[in-house]
Amino acid sequence: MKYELVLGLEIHLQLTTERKMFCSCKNEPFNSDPNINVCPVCLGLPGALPVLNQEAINKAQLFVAALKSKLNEKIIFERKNYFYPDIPKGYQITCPHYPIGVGGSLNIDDIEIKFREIHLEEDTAKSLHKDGKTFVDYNKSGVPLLEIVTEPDFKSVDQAVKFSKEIQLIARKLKISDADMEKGQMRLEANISVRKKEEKQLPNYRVEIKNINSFSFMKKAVEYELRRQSEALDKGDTLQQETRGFNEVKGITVVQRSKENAHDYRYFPEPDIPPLEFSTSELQKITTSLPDMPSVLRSKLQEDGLNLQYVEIFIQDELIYSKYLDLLNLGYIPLKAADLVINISSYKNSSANEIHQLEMKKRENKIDNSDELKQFALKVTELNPKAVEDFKAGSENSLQFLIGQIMKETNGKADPLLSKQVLIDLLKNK
Amino acid sequence: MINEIRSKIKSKKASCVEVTKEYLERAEKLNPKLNAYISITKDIALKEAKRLDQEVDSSHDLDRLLQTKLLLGVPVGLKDIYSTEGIETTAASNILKGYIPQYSATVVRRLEDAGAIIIGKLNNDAFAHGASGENSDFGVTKNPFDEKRVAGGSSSGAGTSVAAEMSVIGMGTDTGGSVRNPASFTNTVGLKPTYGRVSRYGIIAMASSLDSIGHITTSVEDSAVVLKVTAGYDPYDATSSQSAVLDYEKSLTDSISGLKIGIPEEFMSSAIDAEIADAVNKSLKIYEKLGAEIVPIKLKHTEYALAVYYILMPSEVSSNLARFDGIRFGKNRSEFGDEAKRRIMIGTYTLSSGYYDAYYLKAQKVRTLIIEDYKKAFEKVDVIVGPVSSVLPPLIGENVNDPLKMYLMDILTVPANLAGLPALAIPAGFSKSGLPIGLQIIGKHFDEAKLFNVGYALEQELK
Repeated sequence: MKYELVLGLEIHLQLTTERKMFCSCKNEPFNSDPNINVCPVCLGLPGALPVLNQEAINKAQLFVAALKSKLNEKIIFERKNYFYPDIPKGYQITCPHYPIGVGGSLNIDDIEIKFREIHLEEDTAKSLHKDGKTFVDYNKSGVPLLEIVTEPDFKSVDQAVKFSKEIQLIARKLKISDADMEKGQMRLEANISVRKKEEKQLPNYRVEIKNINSFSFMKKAVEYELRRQSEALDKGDTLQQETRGFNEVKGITVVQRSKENAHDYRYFPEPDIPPLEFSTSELQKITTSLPDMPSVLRSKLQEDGLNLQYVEIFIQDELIYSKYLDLLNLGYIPLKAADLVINISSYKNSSANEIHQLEMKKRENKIDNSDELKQFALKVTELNPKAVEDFKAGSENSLQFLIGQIMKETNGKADPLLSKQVLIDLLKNK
Repeated sequence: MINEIRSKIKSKKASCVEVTKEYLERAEKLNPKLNAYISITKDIALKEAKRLDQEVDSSHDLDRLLQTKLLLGVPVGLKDIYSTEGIETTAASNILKGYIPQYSATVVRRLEDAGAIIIGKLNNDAFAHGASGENSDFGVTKNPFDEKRVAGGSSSGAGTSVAAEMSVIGMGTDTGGSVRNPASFTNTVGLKPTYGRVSRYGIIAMASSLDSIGHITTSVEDSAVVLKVTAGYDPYDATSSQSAVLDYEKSLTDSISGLKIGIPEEFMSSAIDAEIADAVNKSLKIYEKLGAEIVPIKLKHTEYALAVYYILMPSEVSSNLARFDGIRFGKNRSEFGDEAKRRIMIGTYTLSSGYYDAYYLKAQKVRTLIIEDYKKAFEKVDVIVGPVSSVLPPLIGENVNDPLKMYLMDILTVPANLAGLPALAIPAGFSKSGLPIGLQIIGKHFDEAKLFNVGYALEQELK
C-alpha cells in the first residue's frame, strides 16, 4: 500500500468522584432513575453557578502526574459555546487552553506516543430517543470528564488499541475512573488521515470519528477509514476536514458534520470560576504520591521470572496480585505463589492466609515414602497398560497421566516429584 | 426607615402585618400608575408577616430576636431577575413568562432569614439590559418625580418603589450602573457593592464578570444595614469573597476631616449637564467645609471604558442567554426582545474566531489598564467622587430609537464595574425643574464602610 496512516486519539474518561464536577449532586449516572441526581447547577437553571469540585482536580492531576505529562501551574476554565439539547447551559465548561497537563508520552511497542494535552471538562446530559420523541436524562450532566489528547503518532490501529487499553489500566490502577467502555465511562475518538509513505508533513485535513464505544469498533472504524481515504486519494479526490460517525451495523463511517458546518465554539474564560494556581511544591507533592505504573510493575514481575501471561493477569487483576504479594510475604517463591493464586481453581475465593493453611495441611499428610508410593505406582501401571506402552514409545504425556492417576489414588497426598521418580524407575525395569 | 420600623416593632407600636399592609396598600394603589412591580405577592407577604408576628409575640427576648433578624418586618421588593422559589420570575422578558423557579437566590434566603418580607417582584429592563426601564416587556416604570420621565434602569422598579414608598428596600443588580442610575433618577441611595461582596447565586446572570448585587434604599443608614445582611461568602458562588462582613453602621458618623476625595477630570467634562455639574460642585464644597481635601486626579483610560464595556458585556450576555432555549423552561427564543437579540449578536460576533483577538481580548487588556488607573488613583485618595449620570432623567421614548445614546447613559458608571469597585449613589439635590440629581462615590475594594461614611456626611448636610 502506498499510503500510511496518520492517527491520533482523544480518550474521554469519566472520573469516579463522589460528587459532580460543579455541584454537590451524586456522581452516579448509572443505577439511578432518570433525573434523580440533579440540581439547579447541573440542570443549567437561570441564576445557578458552577463551583469546582476539588476532588476532580486532584484525580485529574494524579493521572497527569502518572503519565509524566507536565502539571500546569495555571488552570483556566473556559466556556465552549454550542447548542445541543443535552448541553443545558448552551456551553460546556472545559479547559483545553490552560489544561491540567501538557506533553509527556507513553511507549507502546517501543513507539513513543506523545500527549498533546490532558484537560478536564463536564460531561453532557444523555438524550434518549423513543417513540419519535427525545427525552433527556441529566444524571450524567456535569459528571467530571477527563480528556486525553495524543499527537498523531500511531503507526497502526493495533498500537492505538494497545495504547487505549494501557490508559484504561492506568486509570483503574489510580482509581480515578472505572473506565468501563460499555457504560460509557471510557469513550474514544479517532482523528484519521492518510499520506503517501514518503511524505513527512501532516495532511491538510483530518477526519474525526466520534463516540467509539469499544476497542473492536475502533479497529473496524479506523481500518474502514484507511481504506476509504486511500481509495479517494487514488481516484484523485480531495479529502475534507469532517466529523464522521461509525455505523456499527453496516461497519462503515458516515458523515455527521462537514467543514462548512463546523462549530465556532467562541471560547472565552469562564467568569464564574476563578483561575487555579499551583505552586511548584504543591505539584511536586502530587508526583511523589504515585503508585507504581503498569510498565514498572511489568518489568518487576518479569524480573521475578514470571511469564508474560502471569504478568498480565497480575497487572489487570488487583485482587489476585495482592494475594500473590501476600504469599510472597509468607515466604513463597514467586513461581509457586503465582501458580497457587492463578492455577488452583479451588483457591479462587481463599485469602492468602487460607491458601497457606491448606498448603501446610497438604504438606503434613504428604506421602513421601518411596516404598509406599511404589505400591500405588504398581497399581496404576497395571490398571493402565496402554499408558505404559505409550511411555515406552517415548510419550512424556503418558508419564504425566500416570502421575495424575497416583494423585487420584492418594487423594492428592502423593509427592508429585517423588511419584515421578518412582514411576520412571518402575517402568524402566519393566 | 429600617430602624424606625424596628423600633415600632420593638415597642409593639406596630406589627409586621401592619407594616406590610401599609406598604402593600400603597404598592397596589400606585402600581397601575408607576408600574414599579411586575407582580405583588400579597398573600405570601401577609402570611410571612403573620408568622413573624407570632415569633415576636412568643419571643422572651425581643432584643435578641431583633439582633438576629436585622430586617424584621421590613417590606422588600426584588428585581424580577432574583430567583424566588415558587414565585414567577420573568427577568421582565416575555421569554420567561410563567417560569417558576425551583429554588431561591442566596440573597433572597438571607433577606428572608433576616426577617424581611418580600412583597413583590420589581420591574426592570428585560434581562437587565438598559438604563431607562424601557426595555421591559411589562411596560416602562415611571419616575415618581415626573411620570412622563423614565426612572432609570435597569433596576427601574427598585428606584421607583423605594422613592414612592412602595417598599423600604428595592433589591437590584448593577452590571454597568443599573442600581446607581435609577437611584440618581429617583432621589434614592443606591449601592453597587464590590464584585464578589454579595453572592450572585440564583440571580439571573447578565454579564458574570461584572454583575454586582446591590440595593436601593431611602437612606445611607438603611443601605448599610442591608449590606450587612446580604454580604458574605457563599459556597454556591465561587467568585464570592471570604473577606469579613463589617458592622457598616458603626462607621457612619465618623469624621471625614482629612479625608482625600479624588475628582477625576474625565468625570467632569463639558458633556455633563450643567445643573448636574453644579450639584456635584456644591457637594464638593460641603465636603471641603467638613474638612475633606479635594484632589484633582486623572483616570486616563476612562474614555475607553464604555467601548470596553460594550464588548465584554455582550460577549458574556451572548453566552449567558444561551440556556434560554425553550427546551425545559420558558418560551421560544423568538420571545427575546430587540435589545437582548442585539446583545446576543454583538457578543457572538466579538467572540467569534478571527474577531476574538481584535475585540474580546483587546477589551480585556484595556480593562486591565482601567483597573490599574484606579489602583494608582487610590494610592493618592480615599474615595473618588463624580456624577452618576451625565444627564437628567430623559422623557419616556426620548432615546428608544437611538441605542447608542442609551448606551452613553452608562458612561460614568461602567468603570466601577470594570474595576470591580464598590460605588454608592446618593441624592445631591434637584434641577430647577425638580428632577433628582445623584452623586457617585467610588471606593477601594471591600471599602464599603468608607462609602457609607462619606455618603452619610453629605446626606446629613443636605437634610
